[in-house]
Amino acid sequence: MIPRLSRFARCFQGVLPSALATCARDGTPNVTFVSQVYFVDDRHVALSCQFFNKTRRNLAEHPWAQVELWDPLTYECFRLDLRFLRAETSGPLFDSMAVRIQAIASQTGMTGVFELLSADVCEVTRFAEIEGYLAGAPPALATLEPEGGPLNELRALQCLSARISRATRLDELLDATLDAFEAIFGFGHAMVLVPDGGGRLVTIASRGYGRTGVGAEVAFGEGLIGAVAAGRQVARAGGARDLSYGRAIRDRVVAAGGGATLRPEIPLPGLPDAAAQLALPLVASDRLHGVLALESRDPLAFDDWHEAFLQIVATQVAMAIDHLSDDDDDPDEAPGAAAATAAAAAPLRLTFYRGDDCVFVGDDYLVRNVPGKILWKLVNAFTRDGRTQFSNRELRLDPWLGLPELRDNLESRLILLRKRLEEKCQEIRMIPAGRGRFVLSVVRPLELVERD
Amino acid sequence: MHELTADLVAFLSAGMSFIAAGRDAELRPRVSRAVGLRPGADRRTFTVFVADQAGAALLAVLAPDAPLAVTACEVATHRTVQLKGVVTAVRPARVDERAAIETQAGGYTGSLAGIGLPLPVVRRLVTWPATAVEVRLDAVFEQTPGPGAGRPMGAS
Repeated sequence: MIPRLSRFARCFQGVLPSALATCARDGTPNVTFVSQVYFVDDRHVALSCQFFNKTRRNLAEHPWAQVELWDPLTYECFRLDLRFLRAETSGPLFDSMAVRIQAIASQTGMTGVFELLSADVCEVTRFAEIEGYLAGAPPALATLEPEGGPLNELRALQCLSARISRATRLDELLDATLDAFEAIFGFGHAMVLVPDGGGRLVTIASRGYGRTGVGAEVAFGEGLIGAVAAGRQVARAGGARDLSYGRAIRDRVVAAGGGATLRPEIPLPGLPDAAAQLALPLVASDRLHGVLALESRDPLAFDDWHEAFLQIVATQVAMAIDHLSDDDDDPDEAPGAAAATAAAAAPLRLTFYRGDDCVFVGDDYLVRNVPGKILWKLVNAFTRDGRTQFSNRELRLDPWLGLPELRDNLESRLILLRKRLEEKCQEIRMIPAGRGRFVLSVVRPLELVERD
Repeated sequence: MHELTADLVAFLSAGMSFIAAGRDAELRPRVSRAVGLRPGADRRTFTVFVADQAGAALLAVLAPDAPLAVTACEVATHRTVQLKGVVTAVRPARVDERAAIETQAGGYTGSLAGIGLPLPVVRRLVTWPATAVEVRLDAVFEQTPGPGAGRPMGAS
């Protein structure tokens, strides 16, 4: 009798490595740790194959294995007899398993060296909870499920949906979502990143990272967030524990003489001591609008329930971004804010580097790419013509900015620019003034410099 | 015949995560956590300790001349080695071996706490009564995750 494996979901999160035994045809046993046994369905699990090792060779010649799993919350032990069925090298299971491995590999400079070769699917032929493994009564444990059961889950979703639907601007939407995560779940470390049009993702809203959160960047394919963006797959990872696992592998690659194939380790945004990470792609209209990333120092912070729940939320957020991004300025709505003027003071030097569309304030980097070009257009219009009122529509129509005709992510780029100014250059502010309009406030004279 | 290096003796004597595997007559593998390991003074043998109740299914297939594999992993660093050998004796662990077993298991559960597991939970691991499985060492394999995993480690 095999119970439903989904009841033991915590064992399949990869918080604790599992013990896997196989046997060669000559009768020699082999035992090794595997970082994660993946849940496939109630009768099947999958093992990840990154290297064609002894375990893999044993399974090919004698398809029986036994694995011990531990519940990372209670430390109970379960023993499963497995029969190897097939190695999958593509498809949804392979893709979902590959994301975590890609994240580790890319962050530790091992892309192309350390990768998923196959998802080895096994039938579970026997399941046993190990009697006598633990002594005494379990200590009181905090439940992972929200109190109140399904009704509270529905209320949480209702609360989030209401906040999302009330938002009239993208920054309101993101603030409401991140605030709700903290209020409802206690998730105090979260960020939303959007594509910058140049192959990178940039953070436009965050909680729990101080002022350094907004503007933090990651390339597509790099780390968990980049891998989730590239694969459009939700993924959980073990944070610092995954990183130490990746570093151990990297050390072995170097010891084996493969150091020349490696790239430097990549510093990524986020907590240096995160023990759990969850990243969800924000996809609507078959388009990636960004990535929602959460972190915790609790290795069990995110479970299957959170993943499923947050996928619903992520879809709602993505659809709202899609909708808000389509909104252009409302011609019937008058701009509400008054123009501010530059007071007499020493000029503030802004430098635009034409080679990489990068803007510096004084000697400090401020912003680049499309947000950099938008800022340059605004400050030039301000210093040349004294203009302070602008609309999203005129930005969309300006060929110099190079925005695509459809789905240009302009709103998220304006949020990034506004937040970068708040953080790095408080003399210039962009004040929303009705749908699709804003006012530029400049309180110091500007000196504009262009360089190649 | 293989001989453990001094470095490996020190590694295996510390509070590692130990797992052991044998197989039955039909070559079906049997795996169990081991609660301690003591390298022999001659470095060509070792004794691995398996808790009686939790490890009963593995112990049932262990007898003199049975093959055995034991893997030791340092939780914090992922450094891992696998020992392979042949069982020479299976006997109840002696009372004078208990303190060393508990020290090693305590080191292991302490390292689990170091990666975020609650210590009161993992300290519930049962280590006694245990069975001592004496093994003649045949081979040692590098098992740290990575491309070199599975490579035989040379004799000293």
